[in-house]
Amino acid sequence: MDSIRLTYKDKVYQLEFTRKSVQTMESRGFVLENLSKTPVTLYYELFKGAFLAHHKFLSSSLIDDIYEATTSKAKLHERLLDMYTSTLTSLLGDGEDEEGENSENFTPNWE
Amino acid sequence: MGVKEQPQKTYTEQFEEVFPYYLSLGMTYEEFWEGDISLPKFYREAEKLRVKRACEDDNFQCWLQGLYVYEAVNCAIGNALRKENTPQIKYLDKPLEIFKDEKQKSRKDIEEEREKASIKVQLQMNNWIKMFSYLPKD
Repeated sequence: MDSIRLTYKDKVYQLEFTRKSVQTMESRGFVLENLSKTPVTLYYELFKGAFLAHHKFLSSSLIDDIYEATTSKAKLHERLLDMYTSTLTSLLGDGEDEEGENSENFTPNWE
Repeated sequence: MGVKEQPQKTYTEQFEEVFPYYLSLGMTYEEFWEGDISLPKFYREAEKLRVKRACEDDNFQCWLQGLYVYEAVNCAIGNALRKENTPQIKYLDKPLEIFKDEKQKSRKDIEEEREKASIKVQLQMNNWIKMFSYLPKD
């Protein structure tokens, strides 16, 4: 399970994306393609969205506080982005069917 | 006139596109939308195994059918070319036993097997006795 565990004021928060939470974020106007245009806002939205799966009713102010308290934000952003994109890439199979190392080539043995 | 760029599909649109496929693999709504995102991989792997097993089953069915056809043709041609006073070749009166090993041996079968084995040993003994009787006594 791809998730981040954050401890804030002795409480553990599990940050994770499900397809439902991605759907909710997009319905609220989140567009990943705009990340290069407005990275600060969108990374924060990404952080907020990661709470939807397990801490749906957490107040915005508390999420703000957690975000502010988080160190090494670059690493966090990278991880969040990776987790977000995994919701889609995990559906596509990465070519495992045709040419992946786990693929089994069908070679009939009749002559 | 410039080339109009197609708007990129949102994640939600792409999820919805593949959702029916995963439903067909047996995934539930909750598993797809709210479950662990790595689950689809395992559903795809399970599907591969299912397809492989189905192919193996089909292959066996075809082989078995071929065997029955062979038996029927053999029977028909054998009877057509049969010489006078030779017994008629009959088609199998019951399906072939596929799982012979699983069939439990009855008491009668065991007794028959024992009897056959003892006859075999007796014949072998007789052969030896005959063989040794030709040897010089000294």
